[in-house]
Amino acid sequence: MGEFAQILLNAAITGSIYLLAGTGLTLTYGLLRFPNFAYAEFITFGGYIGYLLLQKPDGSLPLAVAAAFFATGLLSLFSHLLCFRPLVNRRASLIPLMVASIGLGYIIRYSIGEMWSWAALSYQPVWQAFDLGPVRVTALWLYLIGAALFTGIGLHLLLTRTKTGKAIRAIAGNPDLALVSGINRDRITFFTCFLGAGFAGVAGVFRAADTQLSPVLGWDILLPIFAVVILGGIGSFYGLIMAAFLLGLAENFGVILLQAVGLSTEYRMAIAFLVLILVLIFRPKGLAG
Amino acid sequence: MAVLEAQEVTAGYGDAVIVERISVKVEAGEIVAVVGPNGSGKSTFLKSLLGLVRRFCGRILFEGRDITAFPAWRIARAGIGYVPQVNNVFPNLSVVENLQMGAYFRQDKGGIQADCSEILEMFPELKRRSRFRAETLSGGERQLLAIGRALMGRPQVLLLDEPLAFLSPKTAALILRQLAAIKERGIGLLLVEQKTFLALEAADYGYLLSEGRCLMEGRGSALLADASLRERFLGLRKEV
Ligand SMILES: Nc1ncnc2c1ncn2[C@@H]1O[C@H](COP(=O)(O)OP(=O)(O)OP(=O)(O)O)[C@@H](O)[C@H]1O
Ligand SMILES: [Mg+2]
Repeated sequence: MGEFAQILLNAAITGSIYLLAGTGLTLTYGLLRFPNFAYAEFITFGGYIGYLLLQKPDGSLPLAVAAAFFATGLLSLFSHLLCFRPLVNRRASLIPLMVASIGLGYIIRYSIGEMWSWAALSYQPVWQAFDLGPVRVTALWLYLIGAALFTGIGLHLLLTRTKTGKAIRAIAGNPDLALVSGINRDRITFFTCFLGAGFAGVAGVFRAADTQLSPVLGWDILLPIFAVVILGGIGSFYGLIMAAFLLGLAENFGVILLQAVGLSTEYRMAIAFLVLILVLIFRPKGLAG
Repeated sequence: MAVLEAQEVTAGYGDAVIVERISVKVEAGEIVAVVGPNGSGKSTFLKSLLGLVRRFCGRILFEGRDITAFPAWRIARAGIGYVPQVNNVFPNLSVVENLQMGAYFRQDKGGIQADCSEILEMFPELKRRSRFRAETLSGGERQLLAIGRALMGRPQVLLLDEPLAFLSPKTAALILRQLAAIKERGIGLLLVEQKTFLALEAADYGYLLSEGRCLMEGRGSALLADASLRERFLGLRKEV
């Protein structure tokens, strides 16, 4: 019983990271129609910003999260202005945009490695685990689950209740009609780039605090995040929420299964893709499609 | 002063010129029809007025103001409504949200609410489905929604690309009545129609496009009466 609850908790933790990291990817895909691989480095960058703040004697996690959000949002805004927007305005298609995002990601990753260090760093302080009912938790995990809940509910309200949020959905559904309805597509895109990458930066802080910080922090989890985004039906926020927690569950139950049959838990990553392929065979457009 | 005036507009896609040196004028409270065979460039011409396709030369004036260089979203905010021929709704938004998007740039919350209810009253088909996503609507219902969405911006001039397509005779008649009512409010209407006879009959003035050029213009009734035009483009016999 306790073990089962622990697995559920672990699934929620994994799913929360995926949700935070995948939100921007799926929202900006809806607007710009290409998968932005630089999200790997947005996650990493957020992790380093968080590290900077948490190293200070008066550093606190909420402060680190907020700083990572804003700094990563700005980084994404700059990369949109300098790299993606000029390409989009020249009507670049999916492949050039995607390759540009991979290139931009490399630049950011290697800049971080060269300017900072390639060695893995650890966040201080180490989070102490304590018993909460049947499960062992750390305050970090509780913060993480809280942040994911906040993001899910907040974005739901944004997308369904506010003019800006409806405009984000409108552009994703019919970009030209949005223009002739007087929606300033550029402004909405700036906002979404900032917001989405901000959440990815937050994912980076939690991921780094929970494991280790290195320039490949984001790159290492980019593929399962893509699996989540595609599983949810790329561009669909609600599909993303479902997919994040579904894959969280699959991975954490899968690990138990792997141990039971005597296989290495290194196969953990493969589980996400197994689920992805199985679901796509039955629902080619993802869960929301 | 014309509410919308296109002067010698040449436009197309990429490097391809599709329409050449077209001049059209729409006065307030007037229905102007643009007719012509398939592929003659009617839709391209409308899109060129909205900044949706590449313009090579020509000028566009709105209430005398040069809006040629405006981006599409500013043209819409200036007071030009548009009902596209295809992809005319936001498929992933509900009917009501589609209408709200039409009023995106308006600030008067009360007015928006009132206009929204008025349009739903005008089109009971939409009212019944107001909470459904637009992708669940039929072609005709989408057409109504597209017109409603365009009206939500309170335009001075409304550009309609084949608004009667997909519509049953009954709904087409309803739309024509609505268009007449819109015209009465002093809004200018620029109407592109496949149903040439209906369009020219309803129009105060008409233009005939063929292969991207304006072949003829004149009062709607005069164009309808023109014998060669009737035979070559309208497919109508003399005695009709
Ligand atoms: N996106 C596009 N790219 C390139 N050429 C296009 C594009 N859209 C239309 N065309 C070309 O422009 C020409 C005019 O098309 P347009 O849609 O303006 O005609 P139309 O008069 O509206 O026809 P219809 O009555 O069938 O709607 C056609 O030859 C078409 O092939
Ligand atoms: Mg057309």
